[in-house]
Amino acid sequence: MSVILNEIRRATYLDSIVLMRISRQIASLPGVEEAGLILGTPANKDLLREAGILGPGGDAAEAGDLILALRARDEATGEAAVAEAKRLLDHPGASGAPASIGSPRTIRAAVKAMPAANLALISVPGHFAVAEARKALGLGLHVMIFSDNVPIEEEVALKREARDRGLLVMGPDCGTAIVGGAPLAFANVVPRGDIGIIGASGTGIQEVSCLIARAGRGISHAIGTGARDLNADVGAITTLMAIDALDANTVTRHVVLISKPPATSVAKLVLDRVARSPKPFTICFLGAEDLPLPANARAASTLKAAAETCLGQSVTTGQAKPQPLRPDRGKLVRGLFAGGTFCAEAQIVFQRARLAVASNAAVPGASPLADAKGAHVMIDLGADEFTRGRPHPMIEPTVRDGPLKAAFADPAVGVILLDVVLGYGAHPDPARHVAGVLAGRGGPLVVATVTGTDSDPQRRTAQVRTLVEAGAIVAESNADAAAIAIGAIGETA
Amino acid sequence: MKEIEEANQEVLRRMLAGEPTLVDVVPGVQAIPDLADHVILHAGPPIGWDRMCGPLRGAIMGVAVFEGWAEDLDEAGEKAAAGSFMFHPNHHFGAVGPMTGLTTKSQPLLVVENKAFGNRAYCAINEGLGKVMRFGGNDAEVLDRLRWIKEVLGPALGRAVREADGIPLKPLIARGLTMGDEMHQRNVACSTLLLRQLAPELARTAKSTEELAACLGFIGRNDQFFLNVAMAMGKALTDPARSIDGSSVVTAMSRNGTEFGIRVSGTGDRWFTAPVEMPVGLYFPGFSERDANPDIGDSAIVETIGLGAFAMAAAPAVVGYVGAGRASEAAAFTRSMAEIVVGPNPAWTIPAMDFAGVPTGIDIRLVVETGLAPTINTGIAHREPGVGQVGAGVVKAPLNCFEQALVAFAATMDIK
Amino acid sequence: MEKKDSNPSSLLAAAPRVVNIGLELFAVNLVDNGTEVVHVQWSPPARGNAHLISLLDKLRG
Repeated sequence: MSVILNEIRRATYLDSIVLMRISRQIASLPGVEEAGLILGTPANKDLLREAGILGPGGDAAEAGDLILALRARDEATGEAAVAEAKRLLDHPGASGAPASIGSPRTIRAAVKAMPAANLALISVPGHFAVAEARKALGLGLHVMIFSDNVPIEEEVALKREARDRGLLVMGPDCGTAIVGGAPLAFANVVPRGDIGIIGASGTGIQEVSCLIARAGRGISHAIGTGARDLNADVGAITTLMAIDALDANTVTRHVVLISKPPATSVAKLVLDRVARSPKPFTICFLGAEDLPLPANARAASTLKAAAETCLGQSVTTGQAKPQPLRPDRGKLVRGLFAGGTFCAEAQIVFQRARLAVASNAAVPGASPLADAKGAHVMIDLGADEFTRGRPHPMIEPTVRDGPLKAAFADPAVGVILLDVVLGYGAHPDPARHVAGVLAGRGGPLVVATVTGTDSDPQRRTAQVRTLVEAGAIVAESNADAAAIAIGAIGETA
Repeated sequence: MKEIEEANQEVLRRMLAGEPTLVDVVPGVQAIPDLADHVILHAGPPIGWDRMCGPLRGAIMGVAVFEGWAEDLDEAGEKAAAGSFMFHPNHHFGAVGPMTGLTTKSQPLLVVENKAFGNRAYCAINEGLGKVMRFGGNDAEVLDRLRWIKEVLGPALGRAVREADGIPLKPLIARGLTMGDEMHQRNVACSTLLLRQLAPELARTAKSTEELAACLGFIGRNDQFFLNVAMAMGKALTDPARSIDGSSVVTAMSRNGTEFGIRVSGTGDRWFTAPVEMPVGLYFPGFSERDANPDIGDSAIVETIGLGAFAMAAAPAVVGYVGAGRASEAAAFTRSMAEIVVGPNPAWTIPAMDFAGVPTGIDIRLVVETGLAPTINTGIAHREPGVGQVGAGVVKAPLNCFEQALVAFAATMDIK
Repeated sequence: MEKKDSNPSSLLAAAPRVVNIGLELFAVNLVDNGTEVVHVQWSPPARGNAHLISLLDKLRG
């Protein structure tokens, strides 16, 4: 009979990556079924509850307390695991950052130490993110909020306050930005150039900026707006301020807008502003058809098309050869994506080819997973239900292992789509990890993309080679990968 | 909030504007008329006999015999338990005392006058290191020493200080900070400077060469002699800032071995208390944390005015002594404390931090927000009375005191 | 208290000078790529106590 053990450490904060590392170590102990080390915010308690490891002990935690929760096969195993967790908590291990007792504890002290500071990058738990953002705004800093789980009303209020102060809020849920040549959070090393990007999607910004880099051009700035900036409630506050900024930025000669399709009223707001710009725009509202665009704007229905439109040239270096399926495999495509935007784009490409798709993050017209029936299944492994309390698949490739092995084992699956994302913040060698899972497994075609550049720490060319040697086909872009999959199952993209 | 910022600036202004001067040494009852028979002032917030720790009880029994209120320690103990003595915090009578910190009618008290505001504060003379009453010592050796201090050293010091027309203390502190002192666990430079300054007057007013030699020897052998002067100075500097409406600045931090108490300017003389924490530090050979007494003493008044652990950057040698890390990390403590105060003290600067002023004026709002509790450098007493000091370490003021104070302070501003 | 040019354009004028609050990984990466950064050893204000946070907000004003 499994036992649930909870302990609280009062007023203890360690960042979520450090905690997840410890959680994984504990969860992998023999006899431990599930483990979580997490701050006691209400959202976090929910996920511990969902994972079946929250007991009355953990429930009593306050938002600033650390909850250690686990489920073990018996009391003795559980107690031993708790003891090990405590040992690891007391010695979280050396990190790269120069942290000592003298490191500032507040934004205020940090700004005193660096009076020229102009940007706060906030990645604290969502419960606390807006308060920290407000403090930063009060000190005259622009803000990038990586944190998610921020209520939309708070996002709206914060962005309005920021706008009144002339300050930019990139986020919440903003995973990528490139400002003044500096890659922020999850971003790739791309050359400086004259193309500006405004994106509600982190991986969208990543693929477009990398395609531009591989074509020999560069980025002036990539401004993240947060996933919901184009919702009716938020009203594109950050997007509009970003357009103003890129209009005024002399280095920027072309602007790319990337988002999922906005609410109609907001689309109009944005496009009216685009119309007033002297610069050419590429509008990539993924999946949107027939947008009435102003004269200085062109539509792109995929990320690859967006890159090609703003570059004025093709980005694919030749057509990939048609790939035959193995005769013993079915004709279903299974997409396992770390990037939510790639998952959405793959669904859109399939829909355009009149193929049925289902997903846990279904785009309009696609079915939810429960109604998958004979549809091609696209999974966003970075979606909330997978990432609450667990590392994001871009940081931790093992998250994809289970679903990948399951896809191999399912004879109905003829093609697997997967995205490997490089750059700062990502895993140091994701291709090696995927290659390890592919090794010795025959079966479905594996069509992969590698989002990155050779200037990234992981070096794109080396990552591509590793995947090709492991038997994967590497497509130039996510849209191309989807097209290759469609071709392989005998359809036309 | 503007009101609070202005009130806090006023509190800091008063603390910084003080002119603390050692003006005299006089018998307790002369400085504090309320020190009648059976009145015993102690360190920390109010506490009754039942809840007192071992060293505090040991000291009380000893001082009762010293003052002639009991024949021996056993009788003293019975009388104490029976309620024959009246216990009050030093702070309630303008005094402070280190460790057990007992103040009674016959003990000579250092008198520090804040010439800028006219107020005075008092502290007994430091007995030296080893087996002493402030660590709960109460045997014949301890009491004999107290008698000598009362009959010889106190009066001699008093004559010398009066002859010198008082010793301004701010310049001494400023010099000591450049010489490796932080005025809590390290006072050797200031003790030496003070002795050097008083030596001619001590000589001129001595009753005999023997007596002079004994006094010079006693002071000269005690590296911590200046601690008590610094503490009285701290009280003299904070008292004028004690009741400014709307100020969230701490005016006292103090421990009685059982509870830690703080006072905040905006809430006047109210104590906010919580159980003391255990010091963490290094032990003298043969001792360990098993032997340690919980945190005790009024000496945290020194941190309250920006010295002690707050000035750790001036005293890298202390870091190792209190077991707080590497000497090269001393500045980290001072930088940390800078996050919870109103501002730096331009008169007391630390060379190793490019002459940054010591962080002064603890703001309870900042303590609660950051969770950074004031750090205090402290001696560690043996939990059994009479054994003495067993080590030195750092201890934190309990956050709970500041949280309670914040709620009470907010209420004075009509905020709930 | 704004002490600088409050305008998104000022952010784009040069490499940003970043205050990083939260994941240490981001600060490490910024140091690696040569961006000026100060990492804040953040912990929940008032140890996460909602009532105290609310008082602090009002007292900060």
